[in-house]
Amino acid sequence: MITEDEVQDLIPAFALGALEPEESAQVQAHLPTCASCRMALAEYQRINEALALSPVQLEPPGSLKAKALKVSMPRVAAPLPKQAGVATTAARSRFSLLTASAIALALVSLLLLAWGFREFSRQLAEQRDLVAVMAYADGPAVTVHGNASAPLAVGKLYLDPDSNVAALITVNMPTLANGQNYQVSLTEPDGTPANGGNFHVDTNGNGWLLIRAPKRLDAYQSVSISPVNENSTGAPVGPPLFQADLNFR
Amino acid sequence: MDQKTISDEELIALVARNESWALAELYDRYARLVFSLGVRVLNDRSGAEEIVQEVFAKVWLKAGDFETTRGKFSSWLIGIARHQCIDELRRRRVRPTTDGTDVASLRSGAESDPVESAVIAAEQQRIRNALAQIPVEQRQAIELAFFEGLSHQQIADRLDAPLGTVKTRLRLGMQKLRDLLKE
Repeated sequence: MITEDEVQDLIPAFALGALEPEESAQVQAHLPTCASCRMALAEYQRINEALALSPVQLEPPGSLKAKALKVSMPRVAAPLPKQAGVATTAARSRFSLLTASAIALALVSLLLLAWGFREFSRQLAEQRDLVAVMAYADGPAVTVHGNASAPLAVGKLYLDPDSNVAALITVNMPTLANGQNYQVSLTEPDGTPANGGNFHVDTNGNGWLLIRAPKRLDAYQSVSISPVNENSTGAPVGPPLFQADLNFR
Repeated sequence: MDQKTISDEELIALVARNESWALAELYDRYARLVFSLGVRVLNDRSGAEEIVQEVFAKVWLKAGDFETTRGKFSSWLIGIARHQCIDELRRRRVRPTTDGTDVASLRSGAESDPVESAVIAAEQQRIRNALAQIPVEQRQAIELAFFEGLSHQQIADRLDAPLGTVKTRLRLGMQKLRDLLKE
C-alpha cells in the first residue's frame, strides 16, 4: 500500500506524465482520498502551463486559421424541411359563442407568436451559420452577374468544395410578386439538377441564402438562380437571372 | 458584448453550444502557443500546423467534456496540445533537437513579432529565468519528460544515467521550478 509521503514524492513526475503505468495507477488511486496530494498536484500542473509557454513563440501562418476552424462550419446533409403551416384551432365549449371566439383568438395569437419566435430563432441561427461559412470557406468566392433580365443584380457565392454548404449574398435583385421567390439550382456535369434552396429578397432587392446541396459542392458544374412559384410545384416563372460555372478543378 | 472580456471558460461553454465565433476567439488567443509547442516538439512547421488543426478540432468536438471544476481552460488545452504533439512524435519516431539549434533557425523575426503581447512576453521571461536557475541536468530531465513524453526509464536510457538519479533530478527540478514560479 503506497503511503502519502511516497505519493508526494511521485507527484512531480506524475504531473509530467513520466511515471511508469503501475506507479501512475497507484498515484491515481490515492488522489481521491487525499486533499493535500490533490493540492500538490494542482501546483505541479501549473508548471506544465509554464513549460508550454517556454518555447520561442512563433506566429502560425494566416491561412491556418480557416483550416483550423473548418471543423466548426455547418454540415447539413439535406435541405431544411419546409416550415409547417400555422394551425388554427377552434374549440367547441359550453360558453357563449363570444367567449368561445375570444378563446380561439387568444389561442391563435399565442400560436402565431410561438411560430414567429421559432422562425426568428431559425433565421438567427441560419445567419450565424452563413457568417461562419463566409469567414471560413476554404474555396474560391464566385461572383455572378445578372443577365439582361437583371443587369444590376450581383451575387457572391462563398464555397468550400469539400462541403455541401455555401453562402450566397445577392444585391439589386428584381423584387417578385407575392407567392414567388428565388431558387438556387446546382447542375452536375451530366446535367442532373439539384435544388440548393429558396430565398426572398427585400424591397431593395437584397437577399441571402445558406445553400445546402444534396452532395459535396465539387460534384456540381454550374449554379443558376431563377424566380419560381412558392407553392409545392415550385415551377419557374421566368428564365434564370444568374448562371455561372463552378470551376473547382 | 466585447469578445475580449469574455473568459476562456465562458467561451468554451459557448463552443459547446456550437457557437463557431467562440472557437475563433479561442483560436486567436491560443493558436500561437499551440503552434509554438508543436514546432518545439516536432521541429517541423508543417507538422505543427497539423497539430494546430487537430487540437482545435478536438476542442470543438469535446467542448462539452470541459468542466470548470477540474481546472482552467488553458490547462485543458495545453494537455490536449501536448498529448497530440507527443503522439505525433512517437508516430514519427523522430528525435527532436534538445540543443535548440534547429529551433534557433526558426527564431528569426519571431522574438521581434509586434503581435506578442507584453503580458505573454513578461510571463515567458519569468519562465525562462526560472528554467535557467535550475541545474542543467534537472532541466534536461524535465524537458525530456514534458516535450517528448518520456518516462523515468526512457529518460535514463536516453541519458545513459541510473534510474534513481533521473528520478531525483526530475523531482528536485520540479520542486525548484514550483518554488521559483510561486514568487
